[in-house]
Amino acid sequence: MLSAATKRKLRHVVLAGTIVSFPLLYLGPVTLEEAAVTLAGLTVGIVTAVLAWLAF
Amino acid sequence: MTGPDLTPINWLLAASPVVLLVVAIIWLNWSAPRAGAAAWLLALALALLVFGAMRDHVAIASAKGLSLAVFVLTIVWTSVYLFNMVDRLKGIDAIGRTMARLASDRLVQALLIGWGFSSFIQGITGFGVPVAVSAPLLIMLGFPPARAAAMALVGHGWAVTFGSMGSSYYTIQLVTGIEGEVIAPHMALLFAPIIVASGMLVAHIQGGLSAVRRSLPLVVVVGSVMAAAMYALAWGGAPQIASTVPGILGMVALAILSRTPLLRGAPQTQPLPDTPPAGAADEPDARPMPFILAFMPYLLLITLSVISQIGPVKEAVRGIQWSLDYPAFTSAQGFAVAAANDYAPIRVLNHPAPLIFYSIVISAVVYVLAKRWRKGVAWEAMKLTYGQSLSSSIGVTTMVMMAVVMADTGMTVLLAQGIANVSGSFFPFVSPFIGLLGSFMSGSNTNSNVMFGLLQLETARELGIGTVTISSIQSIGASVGSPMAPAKVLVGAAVVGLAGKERDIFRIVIPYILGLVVLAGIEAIIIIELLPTLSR
Repeated sequence: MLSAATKRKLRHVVLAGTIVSFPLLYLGPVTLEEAAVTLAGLTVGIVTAVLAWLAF
Repeated sequence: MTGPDLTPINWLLAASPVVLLVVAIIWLNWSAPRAGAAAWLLALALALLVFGAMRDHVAIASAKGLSLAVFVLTIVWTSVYLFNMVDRLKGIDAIGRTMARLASDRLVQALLIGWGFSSFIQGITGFGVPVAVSAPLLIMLGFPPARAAAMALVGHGWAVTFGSMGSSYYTIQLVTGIEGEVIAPHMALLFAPIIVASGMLVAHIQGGLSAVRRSLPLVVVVGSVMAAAMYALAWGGAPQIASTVPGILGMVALAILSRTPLLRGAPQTQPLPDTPPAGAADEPDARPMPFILAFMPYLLLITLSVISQIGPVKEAVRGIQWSLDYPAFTSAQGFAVAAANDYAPIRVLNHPAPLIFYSIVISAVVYVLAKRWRKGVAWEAMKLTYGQSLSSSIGVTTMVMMAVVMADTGMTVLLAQGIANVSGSFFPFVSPFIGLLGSFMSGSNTNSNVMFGLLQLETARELGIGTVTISSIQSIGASVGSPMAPAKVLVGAAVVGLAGKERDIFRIVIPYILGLVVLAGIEAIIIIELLPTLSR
């Protein structure tokens, strides 16, 4: 489906997405108690998981 | 803690993320990160749609999973970096060749490298590196490729849980919530027969039953030394070196005791070739590194680990750590999760990653001063580490997130209740096979502990049997089973030149690994059913 080169590039994006989702998933429900941040964290996490499924 | 009802439909739904993981890796041939990502998404959907979790609950559970992943992966990244740095400076080659020169007897060479050295390497790194380093050395000494890979694979399985600076051990401890001072020595005790049996199996791969008979007293004595060292370190609060030090002591004991009557019969010798290993000549600087310099980073690490356990030192740095607090919550189905303060703490002197980092910095300075440093090594090691660890890091992260989402929404407890109802008193024997299944499909003892650690604990709790024993047996099954994982066998096949003929290695390895897992199951049955006073 994706070329090997695209998959290799996507893998770095997956790592970046994973790193970005962590503070959002923590700050949203725990520190800020802000639904928008929680939703953003879950969205980044889910998109990252889909990219991981495609890239690995 | 009430939570979802135990009905066949609920149980099947709760099992589905794990089933997806198993099916995806074993039958669909997906990689661990791909399968882990899919399983986390499924667990997330089930938590929200079936098991009564709110948006905040799954976010908190996923963040907890990421906290755990950081805890484990910092150990992985730093230990793999240290290994790569020393390897790029030709240190690992120097260590391996020194080990090979310690003995001229074929059987002792097999035990020294396949059992001792591969376990030492597992202690400091992991991810197939023990077989990648040890198997070529065995081939260099004249062993057939498939047997060389098999010896390295079977010989280091016992060292996986406390290996990689204890990453798998810390995972089972964190996932189950059992205190380190309780589970570490108990697990080390259960590892003792496995250590001795691993040595016998390496001897058997080398020369069949006659080699086992010839080396039996030697293997029993050396294995006991290794087991005692593992127990002492696990009991003494240094589990991160509870494979490294026994590995070193095992090599020293083998080198010394193989010259005594403990090794029976006439020696089988073969001269050691003087040629450097393949590829070494292509390096810009082919000067061999002295053993003591090559080994210095690991000696430093051991020294730092010991210093970190000294009372006043521990006291002085108490509280200097990175961790997060997580609040309590209750799902719509009444499943209550307690608050978790200081979750997965990375302590400045009580977590392996900072200790490995100090070792890396000090070693780099020493190598520069000793004129052994080569420009660009730090960057080369960084690139190699990134390449080697990226896939496994995403795999560990997604699987940990899946496991915590399942645990925090009542799915794991539900699974455990179902297994307890079905397996009953036979469960202790089944337990290490669950660990084996996890490491076989994910290629990692750590991943297996994440996936099944809590499940095993909850099942033991349901059955009213020793939770510490079963949690230990989970990790032991995963540890000895991990060398059978396709990911590791592929590495073994590639380094010994048998790529595409992995079946040759599988054929040798599988019966030995299954033997070790059966031994772990028998241990569990004996301790839980026959010697309940030893069970915890």
